Amino acid sequence: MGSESKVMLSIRDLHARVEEKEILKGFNLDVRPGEVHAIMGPNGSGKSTLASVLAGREDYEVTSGTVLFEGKELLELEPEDRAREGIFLAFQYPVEIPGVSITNFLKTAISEQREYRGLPPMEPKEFLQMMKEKKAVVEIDTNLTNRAVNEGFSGGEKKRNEIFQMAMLNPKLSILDETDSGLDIDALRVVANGVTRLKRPDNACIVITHYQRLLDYIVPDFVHVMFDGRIVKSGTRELALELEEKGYDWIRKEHATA
Amino acid sequence: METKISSNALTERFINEAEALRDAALEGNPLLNELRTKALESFRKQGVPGKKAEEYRYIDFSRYLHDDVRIEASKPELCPSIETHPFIDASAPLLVMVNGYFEPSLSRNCEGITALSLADAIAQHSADVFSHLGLAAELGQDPFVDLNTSCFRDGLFLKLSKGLKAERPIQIVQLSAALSPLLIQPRILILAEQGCDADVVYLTTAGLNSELTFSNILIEAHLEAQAQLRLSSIQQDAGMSSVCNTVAHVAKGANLQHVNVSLEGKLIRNNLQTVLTESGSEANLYGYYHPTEKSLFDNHTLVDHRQPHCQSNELYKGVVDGKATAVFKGKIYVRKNAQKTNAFQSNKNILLSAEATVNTKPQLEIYADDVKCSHGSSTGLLDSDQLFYLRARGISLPKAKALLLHAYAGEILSHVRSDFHREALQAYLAQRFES
Repeated sequence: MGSESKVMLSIRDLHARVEEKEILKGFNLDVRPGEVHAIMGPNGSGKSTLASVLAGREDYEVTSGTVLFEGKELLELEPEDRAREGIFLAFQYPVEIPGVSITNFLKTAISEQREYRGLPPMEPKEFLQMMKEKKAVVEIDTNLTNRAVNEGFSGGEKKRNEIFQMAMLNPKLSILDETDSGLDIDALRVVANGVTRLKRPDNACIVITHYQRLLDYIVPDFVHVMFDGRIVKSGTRELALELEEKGYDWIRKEHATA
Repeated sequence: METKISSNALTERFINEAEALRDAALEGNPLLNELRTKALESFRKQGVPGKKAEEYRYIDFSRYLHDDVRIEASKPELCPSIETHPFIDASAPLLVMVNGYFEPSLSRNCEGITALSLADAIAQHSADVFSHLGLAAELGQDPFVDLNTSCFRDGLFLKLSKGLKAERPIQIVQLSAALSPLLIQPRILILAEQGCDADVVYLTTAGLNSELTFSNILIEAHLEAQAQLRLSSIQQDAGMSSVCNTVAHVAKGANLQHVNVSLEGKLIRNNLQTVLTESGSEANLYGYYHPTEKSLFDNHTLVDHRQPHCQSNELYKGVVDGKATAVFKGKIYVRKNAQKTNAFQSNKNILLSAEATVNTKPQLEIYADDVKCSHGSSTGLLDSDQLFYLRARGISLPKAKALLLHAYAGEILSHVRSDFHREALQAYLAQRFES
């Protein structure tokens, strides 16, 4: 990954556990602006744990290692400050929040993020205009945003709503945690197109997925294979195709003794 | 150490004072005298609830009744001011009571509304009053009902005439004013005549030295056939200690909606009794309570299904903070001939502090066999997954909590139909949630 541009996210020898079980066992990764990294791997390899640790979920305990995000010690920040610094996690299982409308939720999130960055509050007109534009990106129904966050949403609507929030919050680094799981092919296309349209030279994306099919739409610059809490193989898009063809067994066999 | 007066000694004192008050008024209305005498006998049997009184097991009255408390016996000379209050809509009808006495001079916008002091109503609307006074609030059930009936001095009579469609909420404001410890006994009689449709907002708020008063409030509401009455009670007086009995009789096709919002007070005990007296009647009861510090908010509700084809639906939600205690006891009583009853009840609580306490007890007594009844209760913390989701979008922890609490309370507040009062309550809670 010999790029000249500055590293945005640098993960070094990250170890994390939940309760007594160690899940991340020396994870390393560098992400530069403009890059899309796919992290693949069999169930239980630690992919979602990585996403949760980066977003700051308290159920996980980091036992060693460092994570630098634009030079800042990410692990020392509260979850809200990580988001305000520009990290976005698209949840694998978005929670339902009855009584909080999507509009009110996003208005609050944007105003808190802007305040943190020293920006003036967004004009209501500007906010509504942005809502309209970003809804188009993920082909989201207007009525959906008047409803409570994820309440009664179908699986596809929940995932679209995640990408819609991503569009509204305009993060520097997006982490998509199995955004493709539970999606039919049409929803997958909409979600993937949304992500692709949001791609810019100055932002980056980590796509966590079990299947290669999402990568037909979101074309990664790098593909990493995770196994037993760390990356065991890195390559380009061809690696994903190889995994699709051969499955994960050969990775397991290669590393079972490790 | 401060000595505390016993419930027996208080009972003795109240009986003596109530007797004196009754005797002083003996030249008055004979029907009233008879009612008072019966009430006093009944109170004598029950007395101020002591430590063993099951219905009041969580309340130690010696903490809330001052040693030298006296039953209020004359109209207060001091009048607290309520010129501006966030929960009072200046453009809507306003009826003010001070220490239970109706104050026409503080009331306004009352054109077209039959509202007068209970003392005047006894003289002028004797038939209306005596065909309802004490009918819903039966004697011998609760000592505070008995005590109020035995010696209330005044009160408010509100008549919502047949077919009346009240466009603005009718506000009743209850204030107290005391220079020494007083037991005040506000009494309200609401007669919702056939087919009327009205919103009534009852606000109990801080007057003068409210920490010196103990309020024994009694509200009787009679809903005649097809009457639609939405009664919202807002309790917001940090110094307040009170027992509030509300008894409603709901006749054929009538619909009572009661929203009880307990915000501030030392002791708030509500006994809400709804009697579905004829078939096709309906009651929807909502409650939000938010005690903090060392407050005790205790809600007892009883829905009495007496006739077939009636519906009741009840949702009470609490947020309990500090060292506060919340009690919810909800009883649904379905009598033998009340077939085809639908009765639902739910109580939910969120604890915001490790020292907060909730006691919740649903109680179903069903004697009919063709009914749909359910109840449920839950007590817990704010949902950590929801909090994390909000924080992961850049929303601070306090703000995330406030958003969730606002949504939680909103489920109750949304039933306050008056836009002004609902928005005022939301603004008040938003401020409390964020502090």
